[in-house]
Amino acid sequence: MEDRDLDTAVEAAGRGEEWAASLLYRAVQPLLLRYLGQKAPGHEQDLASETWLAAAQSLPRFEGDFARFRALLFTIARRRVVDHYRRQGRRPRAVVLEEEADFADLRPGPEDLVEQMSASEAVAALVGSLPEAQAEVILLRVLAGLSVEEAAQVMGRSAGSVRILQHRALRRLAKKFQGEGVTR
Amino acid sequence: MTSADDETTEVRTLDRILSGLVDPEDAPPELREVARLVRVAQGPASEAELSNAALFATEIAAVVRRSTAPAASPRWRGRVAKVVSAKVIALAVALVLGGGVAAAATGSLPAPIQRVVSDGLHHIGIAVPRPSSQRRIGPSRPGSQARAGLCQAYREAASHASALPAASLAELKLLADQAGESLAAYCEPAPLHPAATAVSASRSHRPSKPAPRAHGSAPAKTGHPASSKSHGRSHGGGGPVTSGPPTAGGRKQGMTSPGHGSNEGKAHRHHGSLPVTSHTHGTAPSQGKRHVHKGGSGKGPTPTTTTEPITTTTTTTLVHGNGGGSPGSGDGGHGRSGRPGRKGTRAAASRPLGLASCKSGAVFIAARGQSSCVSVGKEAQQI
Repeated sequence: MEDRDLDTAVEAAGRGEEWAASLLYRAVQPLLLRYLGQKAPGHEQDLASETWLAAAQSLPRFEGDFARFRALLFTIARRRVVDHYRRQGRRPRAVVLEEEADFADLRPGPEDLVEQMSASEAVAALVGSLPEAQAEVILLRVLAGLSVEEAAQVMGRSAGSVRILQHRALRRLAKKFQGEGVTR
Repeated sequence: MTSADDETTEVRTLDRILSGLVDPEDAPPELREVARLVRVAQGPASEAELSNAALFATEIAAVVRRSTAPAASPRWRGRVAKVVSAKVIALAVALVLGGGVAAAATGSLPAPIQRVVSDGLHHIGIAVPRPSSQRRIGPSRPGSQARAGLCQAYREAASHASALPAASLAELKLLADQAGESLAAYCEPAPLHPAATAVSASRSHRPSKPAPRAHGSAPAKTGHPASSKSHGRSHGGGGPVTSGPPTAGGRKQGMTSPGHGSNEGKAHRHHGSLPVTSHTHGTAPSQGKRHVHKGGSGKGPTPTTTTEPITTTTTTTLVHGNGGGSPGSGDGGHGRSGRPGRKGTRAAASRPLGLASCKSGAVFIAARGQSSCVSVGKEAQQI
């Protein structure tokens, strides 16, 4: 689907047209679930619903294209995650690496393994071993499609800081995959 | 290519890899797996991820439509409407309250309401006319408002041997002339209907309460031949309720219950048995057990002789039962004895026949050749 169609869908969705809402939902919901699945495992469906509800309420006043709408959606989702952990009285889970060792001996080879991964598993493989800030940058860049500047705005950091985080994350991943190969 | 260019190229490459725009085969060898993972992570949706897509889309559209309705009207309109509504309501409330207060101050409210308001405000020291439980008897005279004020001033001036301001005197004379009466007659309160039992029976027991004008007005002149009559009237503020003229206590009474209202005042509340009492004579410290008796024993201000005699035109005499104090005021005996009544009993002794026969709780009323003790309480006894 072309971005032009999605831009039109954003405008139409602001008028309450169902087809446009469906188009946007289908385009963003998978990425949103993957993001939330990493940030709050087991609560991604509920948090995604809350996110869409809040986004729908702001849609009539929204001005921008699909990229901006997607950025808005992930910004809302990130806040919902924070609220979710605030309600539970604990900090977000940043890293999930428990299963890494279990699959270490089973990997047939990096390429084959990646080909067999689901999207969520690929996301976990990307950010699972990263510190929280680096993982957040990778998630926002990969799943939300945010630019460095947009990610910086969402995270409350400078663009330079985000670039550094992004660079360190990629170097860390490169080193890991070169030495250990891809695991899940 | 400089190192700076290399750095820029690397940054761009990294950005493209993270955006999924770089084919893994084209990516640097160390980032090839990362590029693959990014592509998979951005891959197409699974069935599970879009299991309720139609339902969600419908709900999202509905929420958008619901949110669109209020957004259609500018917010400022609602705010302005709220502000305007609040102001209108506040203005209406202010008008109602202001009108109510004004009506209460002038005694224009319906009697039950006026009574409640008067009692309520009395507790916080605000005097508001209190409607009498008794009806006014007799026709009201024209120009009663102006007349009341002028006559009050006239009587006060007379009682203090002072002159009424020329303008006021001229106006009063004019009114009297129009009525075809002399000044004194004109300023006499209206006759009391015999049946009117609005008698000032008590005085305030509060010795400390000042009532500076309570006595001034009515003091019958010293040695006035018709002392009892004039006296009874002169204290009409505390006593005669029918005519409602401004009396000595007029000011105070005027504030509370012009003409007769004061009779229901504080003393009444204090001495529940008395339907009407006077509380305008506070200057005479009540000393007795029963205020109705001893109020008049007063130490009230010494009456002074007026230069212009106040003639009495009525024959009504209001005397408290039991030979107690003079009607309604500490100077009850003034008119008769020519000096402030010191003891109610003494005043009673010189009173007409049957005076002493009135028991406690009753007042003696003599009018037009008839006299009677009129009950003002449980112990009243009719002669």
